[in-house]
Amino acid sequence: MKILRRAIAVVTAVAATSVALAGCSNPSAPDSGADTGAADYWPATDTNLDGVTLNLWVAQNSNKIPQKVVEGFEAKTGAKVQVTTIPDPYEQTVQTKITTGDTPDLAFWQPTASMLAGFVAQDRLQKLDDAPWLGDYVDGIADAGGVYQDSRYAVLYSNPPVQGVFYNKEVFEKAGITETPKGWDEFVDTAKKIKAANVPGVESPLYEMAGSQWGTQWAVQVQLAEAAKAGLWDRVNTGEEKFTDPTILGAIKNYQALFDEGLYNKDAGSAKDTDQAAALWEGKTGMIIQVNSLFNAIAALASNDKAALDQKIGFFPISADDNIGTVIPEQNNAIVAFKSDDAKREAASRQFIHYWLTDGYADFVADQGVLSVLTSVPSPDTVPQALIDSAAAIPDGVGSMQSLAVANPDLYINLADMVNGTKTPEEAADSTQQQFAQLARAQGISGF
Amino acid sequence: MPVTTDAGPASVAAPTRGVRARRTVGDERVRKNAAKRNYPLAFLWPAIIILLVFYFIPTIMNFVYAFTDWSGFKRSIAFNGLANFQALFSDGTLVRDLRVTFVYAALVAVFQNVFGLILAVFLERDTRMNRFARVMFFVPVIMSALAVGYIWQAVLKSDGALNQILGLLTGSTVSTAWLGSTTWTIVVVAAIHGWKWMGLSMLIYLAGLKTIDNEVIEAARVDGTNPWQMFWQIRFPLLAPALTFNVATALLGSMNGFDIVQATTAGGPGGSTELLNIFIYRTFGQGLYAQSTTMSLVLFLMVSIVAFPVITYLRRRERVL
Repeated sequence: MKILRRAIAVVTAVAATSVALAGCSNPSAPDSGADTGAADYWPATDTNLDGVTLNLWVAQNSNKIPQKVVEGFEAKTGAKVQVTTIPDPYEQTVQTKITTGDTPDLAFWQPTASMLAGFVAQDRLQKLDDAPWLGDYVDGIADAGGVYQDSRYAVLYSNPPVQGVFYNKEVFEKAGITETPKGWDEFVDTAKKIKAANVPGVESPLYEMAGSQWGTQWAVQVQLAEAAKAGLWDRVNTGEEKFTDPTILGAIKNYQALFDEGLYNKDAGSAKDTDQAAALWEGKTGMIIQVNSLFNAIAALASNDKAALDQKIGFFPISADDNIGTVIPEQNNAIVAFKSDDAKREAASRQFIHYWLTDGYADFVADQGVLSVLTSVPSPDTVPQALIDSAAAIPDGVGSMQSLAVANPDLYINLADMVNGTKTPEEAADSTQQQFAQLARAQGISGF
Repeated sequence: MPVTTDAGPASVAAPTRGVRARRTVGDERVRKNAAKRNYPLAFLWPAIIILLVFYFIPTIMNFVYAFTDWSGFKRSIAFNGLANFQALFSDGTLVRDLRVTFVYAALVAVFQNVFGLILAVFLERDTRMNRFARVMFFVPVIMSALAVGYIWQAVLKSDGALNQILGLLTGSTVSTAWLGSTTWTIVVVAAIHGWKWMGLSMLIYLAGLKTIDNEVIEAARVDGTNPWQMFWQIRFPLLAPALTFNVATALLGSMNGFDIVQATTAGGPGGSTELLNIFIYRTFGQGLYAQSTTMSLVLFLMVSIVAFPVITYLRRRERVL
């Protein structure tokens, strides 16, 4: 009997602790209003940090980026920066880890409203306002991302990608196209011209990769640039306008029309992003609507040979009536700093970012061969022209759905379904709207 | 005709009789011993605690969180009644994914058992070659499911190994998108799942085949059965327990499937292979924790509703044995 009673006691105790551990509240750091304007909020880059270890989370495609910065920072301050690669899908894995109580000091993070909303709502991020280098940013970078609800939570250290058209210059030449198109209609005409020219080797004027899904959203988003400038996403955010309304649904239908006219590759539904990169590089297609990361895949095929790339691949932004770029900052453009219960580590995290964007920046740019976002640091001359043209579209560009909408629904999956014929444009828009509303409701936004 | 038919049961019964005999001699002492033997409770604690913390409590919390608004966008969690269920069932995706999950599970059960049974029959004799082949066919079982998925994805893509081999054989370019059909890709992926686990089914069928009494076979042979009748009317019915186990594990394993499909198609093309678990994973990644919990509750209920009748039916089949 005694054993039985003891057994019951133990079971109860274990159950109670586990329930308490599982908890009925989201674990998060205490709320604190930080004075980002205080003189010591951004510690001097050479402040001694002996014995301090910082944890930096990076993704599989970005784990080489901070190498030089970490080396320089460790040498200068005595701190230790542990760089941890979080497996793909990065965003989901990081969110899951943080929700279950595992938080780094610093992480690469997409500096967009939709990706910052969750962390800000849970009060996990440090504010990064009043940064000393803000005035040194080249045109457009300060506004390209990182700000949410009037506070800066993420710092951009490189040029964000721009959604636009990467094209094969040789295919254009052979098809007799001398000028890049302006506006969607001219873009479609150009595609038709390439098709009509029957250039040997060109299998389709456009190329889609719905097998990898993620790229399907660009063709729709670029058509919304003008509307976005006129406040489209503000209206979507309040439920005033929907994905199923004429603006967005119209863009989706225009995208579908390109398939109906046979302008895309036959295996558009199952082709992968790597196939798309190869198709443009090898001249099997004339144009793809894409972002910089796909260009990087092409550059890898070209062994990063600037001369070869410049000769073959060009870039122009496209929008409904013009050439407005749609800017979509990614996880490998920006860094966020998390709150912890240790003020020293929090300050050291800010110091790391401060060092990166000032003293350490020249080394970083030279090491990575990327365009500089600071006026005081020149860019290396190895950057391909397509990327220079892409960056040039940022100052006059507009934010993407990810940047300006409060939630990032799986538009790309619904569009991939549409490309595969299992959803109509209306159904794709409707699924996206429903998921958007669900996410907005979860955030407690009124109107949903 | 052998005459030792009751030797088996007799040898099983012998120890039982022995115990009974001892019990009549020293009843009290035996009961004490039994009490001691029945109370190794302390040894159970580690297992019970692990089961409790990592299985029972999460399962119970799964029921609780399904009725809350838990998300990645809030600091607090509050009950919200049936709102999650309403939202889920009003959206067509859940119903579609449930259908996909059931189709997938049925296909996997068929493939895994057909492959496993064929292998078991062919590799039944204990030759050295067969032993080696059994090991080879068991290798996929112990491989990482993700690795299996990625390998097959590379084999089956339009410029992959399979198409190149077919191209060599036919002398023309083959560019079938094996993973690109919204109708047939689910069959291909289910076949991959069946391929990965066929080694396990093979082992269980082999064990089943080994337990078939040689006398029954000989009796059948004396009665003049042909090989076809021998298999379908004598040996296959006697494999009923192995079939029950294999079908049940295949069904349960594939309804909770995720890794192989995620690695090969990630639910595509056009959502035609999106198992419920992939949808749950997608929703969780969006920060909608309560909704994904609700979905896993739905999955739990659906698996129970489907699996138990199937298992009950298969068990009933065994009763004739």
